Amino acid sequence: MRFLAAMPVGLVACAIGFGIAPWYAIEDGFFSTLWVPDYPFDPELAPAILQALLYHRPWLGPLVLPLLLPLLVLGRPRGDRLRANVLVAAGCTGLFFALGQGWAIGPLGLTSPLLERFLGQIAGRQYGMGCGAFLVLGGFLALTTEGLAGRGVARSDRFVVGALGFVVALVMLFVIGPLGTVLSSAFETDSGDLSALILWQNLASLRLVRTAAHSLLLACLTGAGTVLFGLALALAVTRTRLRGARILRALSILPIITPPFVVGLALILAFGRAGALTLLLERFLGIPSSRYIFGLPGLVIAQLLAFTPIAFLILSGVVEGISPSLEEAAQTLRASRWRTFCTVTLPLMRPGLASAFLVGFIESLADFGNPLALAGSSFEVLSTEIYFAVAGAETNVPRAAAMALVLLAFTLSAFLLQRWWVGGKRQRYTTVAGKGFAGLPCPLPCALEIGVLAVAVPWAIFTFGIYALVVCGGFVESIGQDSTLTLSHFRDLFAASVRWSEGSLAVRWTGGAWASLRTTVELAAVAAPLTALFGLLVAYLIDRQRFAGRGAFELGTMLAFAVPGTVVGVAYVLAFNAPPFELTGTGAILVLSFVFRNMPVGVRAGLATLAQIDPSLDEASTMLGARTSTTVRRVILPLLRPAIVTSLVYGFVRAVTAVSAVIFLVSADHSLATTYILASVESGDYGRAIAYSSVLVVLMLAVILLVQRLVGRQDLARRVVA
Amino acid sequence: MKRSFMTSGAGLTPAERGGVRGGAKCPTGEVSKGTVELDRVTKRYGRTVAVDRVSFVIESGTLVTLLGPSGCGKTTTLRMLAGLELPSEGAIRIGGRDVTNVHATERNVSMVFQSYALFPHLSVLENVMYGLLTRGSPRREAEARAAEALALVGLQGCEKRLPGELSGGQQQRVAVVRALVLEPEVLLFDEPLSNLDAKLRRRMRDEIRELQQRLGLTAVYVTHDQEEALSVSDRIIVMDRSVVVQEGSPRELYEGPDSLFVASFMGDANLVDGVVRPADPGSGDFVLELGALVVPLPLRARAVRAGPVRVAIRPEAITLTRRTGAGTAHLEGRVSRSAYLGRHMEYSVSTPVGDLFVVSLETLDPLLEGETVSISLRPDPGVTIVPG
Ligand SMILES: Nc1ncnc2c1ncn2[C@@H]1O[C@H](COP(=O)(O)OP(=O)(O)O)[C@@H](O)[C@H]1O
Ligand SMILES: [Mg+2]
Repeated sequence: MRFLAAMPVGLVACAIGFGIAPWYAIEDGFFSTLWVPDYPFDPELAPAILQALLYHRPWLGPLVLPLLLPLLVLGRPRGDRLRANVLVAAGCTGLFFALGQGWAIGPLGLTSPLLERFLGQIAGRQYGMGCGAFLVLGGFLALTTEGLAGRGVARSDRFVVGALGFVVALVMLFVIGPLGTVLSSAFETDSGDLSALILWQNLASLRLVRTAAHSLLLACLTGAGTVLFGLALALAVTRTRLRGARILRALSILPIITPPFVVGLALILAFGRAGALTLLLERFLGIPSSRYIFGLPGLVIAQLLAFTPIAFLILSGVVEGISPSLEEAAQTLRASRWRTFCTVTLPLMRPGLASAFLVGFIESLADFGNPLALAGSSFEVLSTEIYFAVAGAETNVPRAAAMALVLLAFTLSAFLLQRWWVGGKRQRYTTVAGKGFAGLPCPLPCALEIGVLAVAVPWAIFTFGIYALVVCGGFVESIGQDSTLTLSHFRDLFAASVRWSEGSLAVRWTGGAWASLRTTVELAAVAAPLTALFGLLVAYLIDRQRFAGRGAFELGTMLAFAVPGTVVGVAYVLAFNAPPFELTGTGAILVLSFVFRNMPVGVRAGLATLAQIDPSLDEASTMLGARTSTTVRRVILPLLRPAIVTSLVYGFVRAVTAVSAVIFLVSADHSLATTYILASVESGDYGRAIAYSSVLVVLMLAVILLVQRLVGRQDLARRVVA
Repeated sequence: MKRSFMTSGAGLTPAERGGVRGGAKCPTGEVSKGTVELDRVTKRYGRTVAVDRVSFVIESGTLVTLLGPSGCGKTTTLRMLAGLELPSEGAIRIGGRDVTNVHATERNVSMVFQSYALFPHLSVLENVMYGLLTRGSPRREAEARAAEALALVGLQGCEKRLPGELSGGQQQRVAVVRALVLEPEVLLFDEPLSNLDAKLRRRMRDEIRELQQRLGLTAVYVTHDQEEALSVSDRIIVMDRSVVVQEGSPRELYEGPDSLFVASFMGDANLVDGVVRPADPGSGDFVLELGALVVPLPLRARAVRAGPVRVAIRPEAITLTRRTGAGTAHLEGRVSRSAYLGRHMEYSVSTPVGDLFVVSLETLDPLLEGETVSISLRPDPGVTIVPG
């Protein structure tokens, strides 16, 4: 029993992965259970040990050595140097070898001519890694981290070293690695050689330069516009007598719950050639219909509608953060309202304004749905061009990769600039006690107040109108042309019949959207907890642990925020369509893309909450004899509950509304709601698209409200009971 | 030597308590449980040296205070004792065992945090049980012991409440009990009273002291408040700018500071320039001349040499008398400020040797501003020669 307790978990995982679990990925999916009858005596299903002995894959055999090595030192205590060194050696060797053989030998034998020269021809071939291989990889990683902890890394904290190891490995595998693949694809010629010339040709081509310029122009306009509108809204809510702060705040969750192209779609329905408003204008004012909405103006309007709420959220925090006593001080120094605003309020907001601009800038560059709906052929932008270069009529992977690099360079620069500007240091603020009277905020100068309201109110009305169109549009035959009320769109999508047959209820889901909706919800439901778990773990490591390279670690994990979905999509397609990690076409790759794209949300929520949790709570727990894992479980997690809920909800909602990355990754088996809607748009079936969109919006809204309600109640209950 | 604190302390007589007070060694003579030793311990954060070659020994059963201004390295020292920070250099021994690189969870040490660090989501009882449970006590037993411990500090009836629903003083007690219930070898306090108001602070510090003596605990107590330090400690270790500058009993430190820093940090002190000269030729005694005032040199004065010196004079060691007639053998001064503080008077007096700050318990017939006074000194205790 003692022997078992001392056995590192990693070793157990390795043993199962090597000797029991099927080594290769299973065609029909691991969870299909179709494979069970043939297991284990089948060249596709056998575990590594049988593969090596029976099925002519001798290269898997040597893995047994690093597996047996740790057994020699199992008897030694945890802090023992020799044990630590042996574990590190075995773990690293195992990892290296397992990965190496995977990359070296593919479905066509050896993968590179260079290897062939060394090893000669090899008869064997292999497929993508499966459950057994992943167990072995994870096991060797665990052995390595256990050994590193024994050597005193991160103050010998096994939990911390283990968590770090896994986070770093996953980020390497699913963020950095795929981006590296994009980079190398940009150099790759048709024949598979690498050539700098091809990247240069692509970069220097007039077409790419023009596309990039379009993207930049759009991003600058959108960034500036969102700041202007966001600031007006923030000032209107906090500094004027406008009643309706709650409504504006409610509106601000709209972009989160709205699939990104829906605004563009609504604009087409309102202002397009045959749009509802266009026709009204034409009939009553004689303004001829035109295609202006398809191009820069339409794009800017759509993105302003979509992203202003984000700027509003950032800036209202900034405005509220300005202590009124500062403004009062200025006024007691006889400064006029204008002077106070220009010399105190505005300068204090400057970092916030810059930050909001850069966020709008990044969002605009990364936006995929609106350009897809609105850009048309007159105004190409990078994100959609990348998609067309991968999935369009003329496939050109190096060109797509080159554009992805350019886009990535833009967003990363903006991201780094923003972090630098906001002063990379996260300041630890403990929640201020509600004591004392902080003073009243200074009223705005009259002219400014009028200006602010003149911007804010129409914006709110316009947004409201657009969303009203989205919700109502599904109920008419065809917006603009035929406004007969109808439920036919919803019937097409969500019809279901219930029949009583042979003593039981039989439900038949006849609507066309059920499959995609079910897949979407299932995948999002799997992704959400993983997103939350991963994001919060990262936040905890960043905020509460000290280790070498923490800055780089934080940057690496937050980087995912700045990687546009389109780039993620290309990267995943390029990185995971061949062994050893062959994931394209599976649900797993969708879940992974959700998790690693949305993880920064979890990290941020976690960091914000952790900043308010006094670190001496962790230390108190340590002093009371709790190991780090116990502290995390019993102290940190319960206190992180608000962050857990936030990241769960956002992880779910963003997965449901994601478009840009998934459009590269969906397969026939895994059609998603958003891609279904886009397909409807492409085939001109706007009614159906808008109906489905409104269902998604309402569904997501319901999820958010429900969760808020539940959490609020629980808090309340706790207080009442206690 | 193992004692359960719930049962052992309560019945001690004052005499037995007195035995603990002196910081007596364990009667058996072995290196007793709870003796703490720091041996040239240094802690660096990058370039800054937070603690610089600090060495001291803390006897079992005593309460020792680390005293010093903010930023002098007290907390860092305490955290190294706790095992929350590892020293860059040097060794730490607790109860004779070298724990320099032992993780906090494996040291038998508890800590009371400045912010109390009560788990806000756990009830008072669960907070106190936390340590017992992590150390593997059965739930039933942990509950009983926690409840008993809470009763010890008068918190019965509050078990089910959340920490947020307690007053500051009660939270403080829960924090102490939570640390105590594990019966640690050493109990650490980091400015435990700094979040309380003045009245409560005084009461809580007496309570902590009383509990510590009753249970015979070894305790290390960090504070920047000299009055608090004087009132609770068996010994005080004064730190300044990362190093230990002086250590001793409260009386030794107050009456015999051996540096300007300690003199002015431990209460108020007037700094005056004077001259030391031999009293009588051949007697070997010295006297101190402060302007016209000549006083015999303090008995406790260390080896002194004749020549100019700097002395620190406690405000209560100066006696002011209304000048009645003309005389020359006295130092004279004029009262420039006179303040009534209820229990005592505070004066500022301008003299030829400089302005003096004086405290007088005579409040019935106070001196008035502008009066001329003659000044006399009680040299021992109250006057110290400070180097530099
Ligand atoms: N984690 C840390 N990183 C860098 N410097 C620190 C850290 N902790 C303390 N210091 C520095 O060490 C010195 C001593 O700090 P501390 O022990 O907290 O002082 P005290 O408790 O006496 O006020 C201070 O100058 C402080 O800035
Ligand atoms: Mg401190």
